[in-house]
Amino acid sequence: MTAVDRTTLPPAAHQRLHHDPQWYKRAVFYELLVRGFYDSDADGTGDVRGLIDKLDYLQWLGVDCIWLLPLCRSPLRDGGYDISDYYSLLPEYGDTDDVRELIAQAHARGLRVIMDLVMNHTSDQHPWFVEARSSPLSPKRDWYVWSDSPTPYRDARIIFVDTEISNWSWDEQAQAFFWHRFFSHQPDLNYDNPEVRSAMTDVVRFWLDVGLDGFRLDAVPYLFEREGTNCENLPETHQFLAELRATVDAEYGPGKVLLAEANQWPEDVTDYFGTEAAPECHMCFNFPLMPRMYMALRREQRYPITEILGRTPAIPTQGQWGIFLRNHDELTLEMVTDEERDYMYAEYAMDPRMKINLGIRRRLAPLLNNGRRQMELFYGLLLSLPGTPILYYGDELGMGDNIYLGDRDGVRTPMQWSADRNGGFSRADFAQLYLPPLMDPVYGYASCNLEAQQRNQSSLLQWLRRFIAVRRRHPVFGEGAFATLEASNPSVFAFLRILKVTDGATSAAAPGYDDVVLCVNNLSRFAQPCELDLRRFAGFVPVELVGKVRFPPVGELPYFLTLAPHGFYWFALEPAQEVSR
Amino acid sequence: MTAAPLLERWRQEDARRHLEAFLRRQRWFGGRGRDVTGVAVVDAIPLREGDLGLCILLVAVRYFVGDDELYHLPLVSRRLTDAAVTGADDPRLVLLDGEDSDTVAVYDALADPGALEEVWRAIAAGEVHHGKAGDVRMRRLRPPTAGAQPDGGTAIRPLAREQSNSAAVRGDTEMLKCLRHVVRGVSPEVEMTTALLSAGFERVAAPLGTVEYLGHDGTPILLALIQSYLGGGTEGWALALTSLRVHYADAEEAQDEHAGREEAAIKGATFTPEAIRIGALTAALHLAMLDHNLPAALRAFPAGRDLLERWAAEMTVDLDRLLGRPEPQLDGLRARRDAIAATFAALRDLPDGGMAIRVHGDYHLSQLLRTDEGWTVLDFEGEPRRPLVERRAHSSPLSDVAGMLRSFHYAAAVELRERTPPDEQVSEVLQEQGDAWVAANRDAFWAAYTAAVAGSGLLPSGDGVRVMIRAFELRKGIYEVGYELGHRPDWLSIPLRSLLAAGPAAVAAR
Repeated sequence: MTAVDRTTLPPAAHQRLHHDPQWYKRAVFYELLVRGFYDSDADGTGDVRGLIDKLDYLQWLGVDCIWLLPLCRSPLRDGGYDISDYYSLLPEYGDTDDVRELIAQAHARGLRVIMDLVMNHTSDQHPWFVEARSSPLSPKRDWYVWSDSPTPYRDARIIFVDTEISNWSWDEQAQAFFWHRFFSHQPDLNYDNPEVRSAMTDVVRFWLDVGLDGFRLDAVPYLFEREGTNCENLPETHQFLAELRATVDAEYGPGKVLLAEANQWPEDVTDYFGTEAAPECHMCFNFPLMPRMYMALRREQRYPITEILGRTPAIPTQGQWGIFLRNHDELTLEMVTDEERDYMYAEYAMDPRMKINLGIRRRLAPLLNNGRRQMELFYGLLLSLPGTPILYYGDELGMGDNIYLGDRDGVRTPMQWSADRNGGFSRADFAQLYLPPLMDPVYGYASCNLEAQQRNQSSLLQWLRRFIAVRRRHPVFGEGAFATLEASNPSVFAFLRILKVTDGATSAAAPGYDDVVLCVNNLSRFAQPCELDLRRFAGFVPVELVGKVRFPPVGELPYFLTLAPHGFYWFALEPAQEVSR
Repeated sequence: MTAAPLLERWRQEDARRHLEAFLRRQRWFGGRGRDVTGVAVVDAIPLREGDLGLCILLVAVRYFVGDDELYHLPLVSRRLTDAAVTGADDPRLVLLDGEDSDTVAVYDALADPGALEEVWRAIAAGEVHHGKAGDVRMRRLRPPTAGAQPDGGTAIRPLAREQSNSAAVRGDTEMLKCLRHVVRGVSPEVEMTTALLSAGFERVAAPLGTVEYLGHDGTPILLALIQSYLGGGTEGWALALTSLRVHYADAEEAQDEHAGREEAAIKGATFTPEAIRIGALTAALHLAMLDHNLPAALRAFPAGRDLLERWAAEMTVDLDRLLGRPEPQLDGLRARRDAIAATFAALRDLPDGGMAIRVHGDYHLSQLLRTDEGWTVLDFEGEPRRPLVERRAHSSPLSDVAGMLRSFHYAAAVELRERTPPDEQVSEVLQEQGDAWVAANRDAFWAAYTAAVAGSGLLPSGDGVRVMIRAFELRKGIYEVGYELGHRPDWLSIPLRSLLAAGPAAVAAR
């Protein structure tokens, strides 16, 4: 691998990126850990320059936006979500100039870049906290939340139940308790203090000036605390986010994206989009959807999914869900009921080591028993359900996990580029690596790696790339309305995506017609029949999207389909006159 | 011209012959395979005249053995060229009259969306039409649902025929349920769903309109009913079988000695979250029937010793009537007669029987519909083979509970029959797995139900619950044995297996 020369940017690079204020609605995101992606300087840790070397791959895969896990300076006691300086990079990753270079090179390839921004708390090693704890008279004292007793805000739940027993921790030096919703080395910032709000807004400005296209806002529901509440989703938090959005829009114009991490029930999450008049975030993760997809697959019936989609309120027109199969955290089970959580544990975390907090720490492939058809079905759902799909690095290869590593490191092992030493991730000595790469016979880099899958046209990677390309051809997937089709067979999950086409020229169907896609999924391991009520499309012809195969036209009778085990179809419903043109 | 005068003009005997032939072609006709001695038109009520003739016929069917049955036939008459039927061999056709272009067809109105549109219109207008022996009274109970599905429109489509009724859907929001075998007296369906809605229980198909025949003697007969249509969705029975299919497949795969220990530890796809929801739903249904504001005939009252005495006596009579049958398959059950009778007799020793309420009466998984919004309870007509007076009688809520508990056994047994295990050992494992599925769902359903009704007085105090649920479950089992002997001898082993075990595994005893 040769490092990219900073002087060799393609000409007119920035023109490769179309101006499109709502680009995030049609995009495919790719989440990665710079630490685990590619090591350009053989020190055992991935770095920004390593990522620059691999941008060609991401462009080839067909994604539109890279989401980087935290890069800022940090003692790394929580994977970088414990920031000790917002204005500099952790040195092993590189420096802000490298980030500028990364952004330029990414934009030249039509890729955008967003980064994690931890708003809620800092590391206890951040100079702000060091100063705050030093004296009650310190000007930074009021930047954090202090108390003489651990009693206030008792209604706030503890999130990291495996390691924390209270949201308050005693600080010997400060002689006071400080408030933390996550680890006890991550004191919460005091957003009631206007200096804090202003300081964090400056952080946002700094990184947008560097050139980022937006942020994934970590843990946003917890910014404020109020007695007598559960200290989540407070009106003050929403007001701050609306102000932040207004600042970003005013100073940087449209096209930047704020993606909220709010692991809440759908009706609470939608508040983070704000209103048409006072928008907050452009995107929010749809957390409750993900565990239910696994539940539905296990039960071979659609109701776990359709129920939560039915419960999801409409969102403002500028808003978009972020959906995912797995990410760098555990498979979160906070937003399922207790009964469902017990069930999920019983089904997917056979070994107690696989459990963490309220979730399951496994990657996509092991969760699906490495079943190719199940993975295809899941990717099919991810690319067709309402929202912007977010891929997690390595899952496009079906990488495995290492449950013997601590915390969530098991799903953060090095990307497997090839069968070479260290999986092609680094030229460093094995012992120097930040985490050992997977070496087991099924998921290890010897058998599961990018190079091998790129060469094999029938690999999961190549399959996924083709489906990403299909999705790209149909904006209805990103922007269309969603409607479940009631099939009497509970194992079949069928739905329509419908986009009103205002400009006939952009329609895949005849001018003036809606762009309609029908998706039919078999959640069962057995072949299934299905009858769909498609009368409103009588005379339309279902055209399979991948092979462009024309199916029999829809009539007045229920439309009959048979589905292979875990099979799925995507059809464009095209008006009949198309047939006889 | 409506169908009525047309039928009258035909020689009486011919008209009756056509009607009988028509009836025999219908799946909902109870006289197929029976010796019919006569078909008579009891009343004919014209609704519309002209190009589109519409009339309601009440037809009595007499049998060589058994009671008469009364059938409801809404018929349409149209020029054959405009008709919804295709020709002389259409099963929905009653007769053809005239020749060539003047030929008029008389056929089932359920086949004709235009005729059904008229029915909807007549109900909306609250029309009354007179017959010879009574009147047809139409009533709209609730206005059409606002904001109906935008693309559904008001198009009418007949639904695939059900076993005992016919149905059509309008605009995907309303369903016309046309009763076929009709009975004199108040319909439990309208009565119960109206009561439940008034008491705040909304998980039912709301009654929106009725077509009733009021005889001159004042006895009502429900002919048809408009209900809110619960489009799509999955019956509880189908959903339970889906769960069992996965459960058994898992169990069979786990028998592979090469499967990893982790794999073997995977449990089947559970149904218990649904069983819990169904338990809570059932409790809400029963608690609503405790509402003091219900009409007097529906109000709950304490089940005192006299009622317990009567239940015990009825259950024992049912048992002995069954065991009086000669079939040798019942020998095992005969040997257990006294033990079962003792369970019924134990009701007599109870100090109280909780509350007696109007129950669903035919409560099992197929009466529940799962949609994205949750579960809905369907069909409050009661066990179709029982006389109306029994179907409208008060009973213990535990009779519904027993029905659902038994339904879990049926589901597990029916899905097990679908499988062909490779050997005896796997077969035993599957049986055990089926039993485990049943036990888990019984427990979950029972726990959710009892938790939700706790403190309401619905159930008897103390040990009485255990005694009563055992009795009601056995009663249900006895009914099932009788039913299977008559209809599905292949399935006889399903209830027998439960009855011959140490009595149904009573959840309350756990």
